[in-house]
Amino acid sequence: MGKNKIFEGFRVLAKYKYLIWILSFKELKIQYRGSYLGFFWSLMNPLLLLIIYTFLYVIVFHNPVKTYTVYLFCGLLPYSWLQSSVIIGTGSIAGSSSLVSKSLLPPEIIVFSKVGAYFLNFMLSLPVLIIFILLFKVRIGFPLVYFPLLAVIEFFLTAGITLFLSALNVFYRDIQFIIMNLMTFLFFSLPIMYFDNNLPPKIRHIIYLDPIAYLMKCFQDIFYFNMFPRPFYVLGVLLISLLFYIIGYSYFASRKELFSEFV
Amino acid sequence: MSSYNSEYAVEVNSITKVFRRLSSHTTLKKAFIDLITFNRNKQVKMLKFTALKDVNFNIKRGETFGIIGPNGAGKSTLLKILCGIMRPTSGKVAINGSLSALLELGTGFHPELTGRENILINGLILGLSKKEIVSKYDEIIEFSGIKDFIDEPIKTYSSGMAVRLSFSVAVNVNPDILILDEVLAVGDAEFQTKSKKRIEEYINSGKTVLLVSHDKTAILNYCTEALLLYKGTVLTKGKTEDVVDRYEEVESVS
Repeated sequence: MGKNKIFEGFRVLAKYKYLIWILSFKELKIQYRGSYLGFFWSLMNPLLLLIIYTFLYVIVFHNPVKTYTVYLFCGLLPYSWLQSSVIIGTGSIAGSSSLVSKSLLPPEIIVFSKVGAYFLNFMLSLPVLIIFILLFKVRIGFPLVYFPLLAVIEFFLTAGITLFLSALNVFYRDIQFIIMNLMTFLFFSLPIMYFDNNLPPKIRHIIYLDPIAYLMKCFQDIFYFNMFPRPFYVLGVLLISLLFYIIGYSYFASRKELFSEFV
Repeated sequence: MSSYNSEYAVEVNSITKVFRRLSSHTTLKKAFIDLITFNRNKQVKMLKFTALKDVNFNIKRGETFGIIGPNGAGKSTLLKILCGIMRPTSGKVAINGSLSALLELGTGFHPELTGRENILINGLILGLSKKEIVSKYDEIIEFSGIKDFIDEPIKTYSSGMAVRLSFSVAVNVNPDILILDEVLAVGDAEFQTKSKKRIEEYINSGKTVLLVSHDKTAILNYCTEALLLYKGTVLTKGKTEDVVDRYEEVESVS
């Protein structure tokens, strides 16, 4: 029984994979319906941040790293996937009262489709990253084979966090506002806009207590440093992300039959 | 969801549902004041409401079962528990077979998506493959009679259109057990005749139907057995005629 429950989250994914896939696409479509520039808008945010940070780093602080923009982009894109999914996903159950209380749709599918939609967003912005990589003549190569595994890791990590928070947010609506602020804090705690080797060793240790920091590092390894991420890191983050997913899903599943009373 | 007792499609075993709500005008400030003043007569109260009390019944396979009761009797709460959307406070429910439900009119759709997309999604939720659903598109769309709007988002539909589509999906996906909540008064006369015919076909094919209504004629027309739900308790159950007679008594009293 206990064993069954641990794997329930994976069974649901397998059972509804096609439905989740379709809803993720639709989610993306809905986001940009009626806007002229459509998908372009989801690139605007990282591009604007890119301009601001490049200005700060290169012009204000006279940083000599010429390819800083590419470095920044490598971390910014996977981080945006996580951030948007968590922020939007946290409020998704509380915000879908008619689907939650009047349809047979398993509510976790709503959360999966948000994470899936921002995954598609992430995938669609990769060509822009590639253009930057080529423009700045950054070398990339074989380490890219790690990409699918890293994406899977990020999916489970993001889904686990989002499932947990979205269930909690049904009962305590403050969560979504707290999360919005925490995500900004999280961003600056990660070595995305700065290089971790510029940090004093003590602070670096603190920053690497966060598994997300390792994941971002792995993305930067394959897209920017052209090196294979340390297998120890990858394995560690993989295990942690699966653990997050199991915990997040279990909590969600234990609460989901109460949602219809509170949304 | 196992079929440990294959004689019944639905088994409901002493279901009780108590809703808990904080009293209205609950604010953090009042809660805080209560906390620090040890106020015996607290401003923030937990209100309890018993929506269902010790409800028992079984539905045989292939039976058309009716649940009748006035507004506020707990019918919708009971259905939500049967569908697994809500958890009972105590008691057990067993559903032996696949289940499709039409809960409250025209809901359960994604408002931003088109009718066609919603058909696909609903079919997938009920466990059909994409192929099976695509093969049923024409039938479902034809039946709903909203062919011209099928590629428009659901939010642009009138309530009548949404109901017709949801009814059409629910009956055409061919579940073992079909739950219909207050839907038989849906649509114009033509659609009513059509849906009646479809339900009869469905019943005749040996599937289980659970019909919920406050409308006596619908229950009398379709159901062999029924139960009367009143203020959360089962007043009577058994032959439909007897149950409806009792319902009329209850109605005349209140």
